[in-house]
Amino acid sequence: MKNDVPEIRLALFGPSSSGKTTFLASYFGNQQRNSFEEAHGYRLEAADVSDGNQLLARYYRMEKGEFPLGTEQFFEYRFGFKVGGLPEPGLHVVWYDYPGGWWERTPKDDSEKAARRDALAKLLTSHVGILLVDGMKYVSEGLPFVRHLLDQFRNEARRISDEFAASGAPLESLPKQWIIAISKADLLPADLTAEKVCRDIVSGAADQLAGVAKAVNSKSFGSQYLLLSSVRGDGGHVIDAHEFIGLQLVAPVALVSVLSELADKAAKGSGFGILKTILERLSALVDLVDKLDDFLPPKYQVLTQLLKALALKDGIDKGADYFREKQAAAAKKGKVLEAAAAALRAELASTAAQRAFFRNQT
Amino acid sequence: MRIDLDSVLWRTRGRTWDYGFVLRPVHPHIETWYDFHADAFSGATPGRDPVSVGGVLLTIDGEKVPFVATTFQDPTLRDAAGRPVAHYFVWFPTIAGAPADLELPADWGPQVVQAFGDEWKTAFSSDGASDDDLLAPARSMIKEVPLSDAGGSSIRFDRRVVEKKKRQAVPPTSKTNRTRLVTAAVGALILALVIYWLTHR
Repeated sequence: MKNDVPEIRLALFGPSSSGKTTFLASYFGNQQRNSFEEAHGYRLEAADVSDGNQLLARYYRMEKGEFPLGTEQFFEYRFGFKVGGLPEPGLHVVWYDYPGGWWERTPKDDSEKAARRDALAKLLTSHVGILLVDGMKYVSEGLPFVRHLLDQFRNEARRISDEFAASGAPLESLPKQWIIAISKADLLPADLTAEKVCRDIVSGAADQLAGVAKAVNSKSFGSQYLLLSSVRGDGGHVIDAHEFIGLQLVAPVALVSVLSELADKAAKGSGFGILKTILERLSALVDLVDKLDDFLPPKYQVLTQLLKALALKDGIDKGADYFREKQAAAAKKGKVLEAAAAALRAELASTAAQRAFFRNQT
Repeated sequence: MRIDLDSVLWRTRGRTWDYGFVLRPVHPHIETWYDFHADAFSGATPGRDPVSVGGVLLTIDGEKVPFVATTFQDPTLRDAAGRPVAHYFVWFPTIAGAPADLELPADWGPQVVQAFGDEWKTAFSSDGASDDDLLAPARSMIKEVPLSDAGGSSIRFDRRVVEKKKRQAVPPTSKTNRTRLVTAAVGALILALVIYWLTHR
């Protein structure tokens, strides 16, 4: 039964201190709280209790106002997405955390080199890569900061690819789906949307985006933008660990990203715009959904069931409440997968999601 | 008591560079310090007060090397993102016999940091680029750290850490294995054909 649960694997990319560890602690900490479950009708549960406790220890530290220590080892976290009172998760969300420095520099110690290599190889099995852009620096330094970050990321991606190729085991595939996430979104002006950020970066850093797209071999790199905030902070301290932006959107947005790629591949139009528009466009894909496995690369086929359960045509004009009701009804009947899919649709239909995500036409 | 710095493993981070070894011991000599570090500090979380553990490293050569380890947050330093900086120290003391424990000041780790003084502060603020371990040049000057005796506590050598074998730098992937097999099979076939042709000509 456990093997039948679809899983989505997500990896955060970004230099040391870009907020990967804080994100994960907040991601788990906030989505397993009782108040979150009351409002959203689901919660996250760590598959490994000691992993969950470790993340909670970091989360409690944030509740006291301190950011967690940086990560100095590779960790794989597996969370069960549990709807209502259902005993089984409808979806597993898998995250990888690792020292950001591993992306920037080759360690001197041989066994750390080997651990880094294993970790990077795992990252490549992700369905979606999320590149973190420090929102505070984006606001204060503007596009020069973004250009520098993208150039740096391109160079690191190339260096690591070359390093693997030189060692006789070239990288087989990097994630095809990428989301550029503007972190620390709590520090952004209130009227700044993902769409505005996208327009700004696409017009002001086109060359750098094209450079990364080539380096990671993903034509769509730079087309998807998400506003994220793990906590409300002042740059040095956590002011409120319970205030976050976009955490609950990451998994559903990643699925939409996979579907959009599918639409591109099948030449059935493409999903772009704000989430509502994307879902409207993707609903044209319904006749194709039954044949998902023909289009999806093997790495994505573990998601097929869930993608089908999203029922794209249903409730296009409906808001989050409509899907929450569907979620509750499915949970009542013990339909785990349908309940999870409805919960994800509810997140995508929320007003907050319309501001926080934007996909540009590529 | 004095800490011989040639027997110290120190892992920490700088303002901008990420966690790495700034000192690796001259003795004992093993090649898998990262794996050892992960096992030695398993379950130990660096806090404001130092946390110490003790144990024995079982080397591949069958040697049993006692060690004491401590981890704590630096009381003043913060990284570029404002997060506390953790230190991880392991010391392999030269002791006669096989004692069950060792009496050490609870703050022996912070005392070592203090002994490196400006050398450590310079390394912390640097870009971290170095061919050698970052504090190896300073170690050759300081050599050892005399410990003050205040606040001693007993650390038991009750943790067992087995030296891991050095992993291959390039683990053969299924693809490279397949390629090798196919190459070998094609080679063998060509060789067999050549032999057949030569013997039946």
